[in-house]
Amino acid sequence: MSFLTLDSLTKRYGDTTAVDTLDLSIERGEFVSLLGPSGCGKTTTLQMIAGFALPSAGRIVMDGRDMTDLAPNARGFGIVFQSYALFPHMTVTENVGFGLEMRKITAPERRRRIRQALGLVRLDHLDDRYPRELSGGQRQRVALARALVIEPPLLLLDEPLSNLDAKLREEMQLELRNIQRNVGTTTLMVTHDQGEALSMSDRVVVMDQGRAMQIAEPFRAYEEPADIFVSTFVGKTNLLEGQVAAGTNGQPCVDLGGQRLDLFGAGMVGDGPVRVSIRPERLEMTACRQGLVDGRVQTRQFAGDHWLYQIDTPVGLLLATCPNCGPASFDVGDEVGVRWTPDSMRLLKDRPKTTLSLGGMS
Amino acid sequence: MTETVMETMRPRSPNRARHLERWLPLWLTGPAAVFFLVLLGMPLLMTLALSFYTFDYTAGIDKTLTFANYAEVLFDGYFHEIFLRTYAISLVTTVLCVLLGAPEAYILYRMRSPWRSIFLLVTLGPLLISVVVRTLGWVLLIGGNGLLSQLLQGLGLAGSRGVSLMYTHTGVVIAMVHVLVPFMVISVWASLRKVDLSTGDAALSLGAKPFTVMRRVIFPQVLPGVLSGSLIVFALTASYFATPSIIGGRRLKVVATSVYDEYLSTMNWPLGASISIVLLLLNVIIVMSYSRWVERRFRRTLGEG
Repeated sequence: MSFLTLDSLTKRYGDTTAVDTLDLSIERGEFVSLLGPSGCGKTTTLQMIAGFALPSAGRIVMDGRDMTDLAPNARGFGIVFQSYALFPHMTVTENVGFGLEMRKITAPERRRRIRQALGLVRLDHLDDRYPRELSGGQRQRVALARALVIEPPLLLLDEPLSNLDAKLREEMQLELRNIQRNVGTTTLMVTHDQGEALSMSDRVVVMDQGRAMQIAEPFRAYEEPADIFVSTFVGKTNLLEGQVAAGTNGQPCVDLGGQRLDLFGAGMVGDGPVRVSIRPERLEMTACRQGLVDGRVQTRQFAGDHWLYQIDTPVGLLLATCPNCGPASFDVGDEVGVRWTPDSMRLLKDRPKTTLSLGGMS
Repeated sequence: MTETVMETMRPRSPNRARHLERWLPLWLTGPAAVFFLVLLGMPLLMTLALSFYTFDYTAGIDKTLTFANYAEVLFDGYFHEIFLRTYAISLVTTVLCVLLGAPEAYILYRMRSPWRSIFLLVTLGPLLISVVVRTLGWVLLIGGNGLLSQLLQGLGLAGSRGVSLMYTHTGVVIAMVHVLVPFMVISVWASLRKVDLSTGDAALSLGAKPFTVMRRVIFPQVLPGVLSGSLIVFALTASYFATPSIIGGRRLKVVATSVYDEYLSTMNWPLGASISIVLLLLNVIIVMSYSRWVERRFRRTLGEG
């Protein structure tokens, strides 16, 4: 029996279905992210778990207890809001202590736990400041301390890092995850940032149009995307149109615009048209006629730790990244070969058209 | 149109630009300043002068300067009663406006469209109707043969003589609250627009009951709006004329109506002038010390302004 179970959770607003029969089981202590573009239903899901929105159908069960219809103030979950939602008229201490006060915890015990929580987020020195006197990162920590001090069974994070600048966000990703590991609170995070979801979570739920498209560990979601949406949303990829066919030696192979490439366990999806996904870092650039396809470098971008090439080839425009190990080997306009190993190809079926249109309508 | 404006506004030389920069604020504020000086400042100065003139029932107004008028206002028990009554009515009206207007603004604010706009219009709409008309409406309701009296008689709660709230403090306060509560709603509404309503959700998630959320989280955040609203209501009530004069009448004199009587019944203009100057000074003192206190109170938490 898992710790938190979402059982066919559904939310409808009039004719639109924001969350469509979502099933999810979360283990105790796990860090799970709901990842998807805006409007995919991830925030609505969080709202239902928090109790701010009532599900149209389905159940939320935690630790064997049905929480579906419980009022938000009876659930006892810690929530970090996107805007942090700190109480502007209370000091840091009063903000963090609010939940303890509601639980009628005695003043000395309250002081001890506030100090402990502020120590956890390294803010002990700012305890008598007001929120507007703090920086964005500090407010974020106060919000986290306020959510954790009540020792919630479940921590809900709603785009917790989206208001921070890029550098601070990376620092906070690490720190947030470390804190979560230390206190061991089961955590569900909503984010639209795939990098954030991949780097922080034990498992990722990739959502689109109210449905969970894939629930997997970050590495699996990246390496073995369940469908085209997941492969394009989680990381960058090259999507090539192809046809599965029988090869010369009886081995199945894929036909990419005339190029026949053997498939060695690249994931079989039967006959017919398929899409082949290859990650840019799996493409290797070589001299002309030494790769699987030839092409011409169209653009080159320098991104610090790697070079990013766009190569025009007969099978389509390919995106390739090369680690920065010295000056770039190729220039715009160069004729190059591109090769990749068969095991870096992922075969993906097009999502059936009917499902797509249903998803759009429902 | 825009082009010609741009043409004339564009500085032709650095010297001209500096000239424009220096005098532009004066040109922009000048007309309004002159307007106020002539229409508000002058009469005020004339009233101030008038308040020091001597009055005699047979000889009329004499331009000999005297403090007698002020002495009468400041030391006569009759005027003490009037001033106390005025500020008591103002205080009660303000408190009632807070109790009614603040929750009203919050409820309106949380309403969905189209109800939000409809009820906001219902709340603010009365401002479009003359205060005199609205007050006379209250006379119809709370007068001796009014609807309230008939209702209470119908229920057997009132004797054959009925119940009249005319010329009572209750009647004046009811009508004043009705006239002034929209100002409180507007003021609190403006405050609510700056409040992050997810703080309410945060408090709920931390285990607060809905009433606690209101009391501990939402209300303190709109408190600046409540306080500035009560300042408006208090200052307006303290100098209000129409409603107290119609419902309070001669029996319940307030400062504004007694000034009116001094001017138009007794013809003692200097005394009327000194009453109004005292009222003005008291109001300025109250308003300024109040707003200074409010500013100091919220500088750290909710920012300036």
